[in-house]
Amino acid sequence: MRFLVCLAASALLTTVPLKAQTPSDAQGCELHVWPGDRLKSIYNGVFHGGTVDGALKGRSGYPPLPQDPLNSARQAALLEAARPQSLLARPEDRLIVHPEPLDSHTIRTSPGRLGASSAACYGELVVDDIVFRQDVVSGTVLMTLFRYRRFGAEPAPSYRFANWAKSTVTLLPLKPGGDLAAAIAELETAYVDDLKKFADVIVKQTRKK
Amino acid sequence: MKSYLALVAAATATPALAQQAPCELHVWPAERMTSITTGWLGGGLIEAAINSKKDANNKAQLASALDSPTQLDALQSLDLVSLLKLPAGTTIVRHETPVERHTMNKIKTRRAESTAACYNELIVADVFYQKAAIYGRSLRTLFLFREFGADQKIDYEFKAWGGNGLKLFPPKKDEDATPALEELSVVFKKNFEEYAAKVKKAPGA
Repeated sequence: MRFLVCLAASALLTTVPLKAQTPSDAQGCELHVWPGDRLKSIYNGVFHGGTVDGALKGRSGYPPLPQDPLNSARQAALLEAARPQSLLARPEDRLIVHPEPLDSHTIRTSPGRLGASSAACYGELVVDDIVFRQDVVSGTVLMTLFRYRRFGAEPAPSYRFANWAKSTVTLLPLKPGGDLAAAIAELETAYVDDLKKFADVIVKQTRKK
Repeated sequence: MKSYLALVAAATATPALAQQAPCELHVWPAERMTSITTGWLGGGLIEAAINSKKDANNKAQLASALDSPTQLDALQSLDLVSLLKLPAGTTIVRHETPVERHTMNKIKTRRAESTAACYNELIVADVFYQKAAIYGRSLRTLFLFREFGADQKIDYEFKAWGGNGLKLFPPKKDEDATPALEELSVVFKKNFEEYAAKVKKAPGA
């Protein structure tokens, strides 16, 4: 009997810590997140279109947009509030949101980690680009290009996934008498929705495996 | 245009070459992205309306995947001096702001405020995604090369479209887009290499 109690106690002792030690906790997983740079716009009208940031450059025929409506600081705040680690089904990961965007050259050409961390369990989520796409026929969307990579002990990523997510925008460009605050709020919602859509694809992929 | 970023290239220039004021090659990226999808209807307004959403997305994706820094990086990863048959030691000057497309043909003098006796310009004029029913998907690019002497007069000019097929772009929904985005840079470079091979072989345009 005493032996059985000891066995049970020993089993409990080995079970409890194991249950508490999820891979994230045990290895101190980190998720580094970078916001995107300035919003780009691309417009396709009947007589004008194709020029990147046509409105910003003051080209005729390009509907004007508010100056820098979704700056990097605001993006960083939105990303932090959205808890991307939870969206990616890794709620225990320690979230580190970097305030400054990375330049596209760094994002696109760095084979290794973008962050200075040496954590054995490390992930990074980068907003590579945000494009405000307007089309006279098919409407207006906010398109966001995300890149997600995970690293273990190896210098090369063990997993990578990049893609666009897009969400409809209806209040920008602002119509006469339009509410700028509401339009910006809608744009911010679209940005977070894009993040959720992107994360959702990754989670579905992970579950399939 | 005044605020261009002087770049590298002549890092290998010897002091003697530097004293002789080396040649300059000024490079500008494109600002305009185009996408045309044609099917069996042979183009026109109906086709444009049907493919409007696809083309709008493609343009946005091109604007990102081949943004100004990426175009310049792609070109600078090549040996521009050799490809364009320029004198060894030519300094490459990188302009981050694209040339206004409608001024490309209008302006016939130097775009940069350089007084170098040997001055050249390379402009990416257009980046164009095309999907045709029979020929498939391709990335087409329009490049313009100009050679000036010691003055403001163009001594040689060559402008040409080029294109190569795409297998991966545009990326599919819910698939990793990295290979498709990288393919654009690879094909962009290939287009340039083919264009550059014709520079100074073809009569000035």
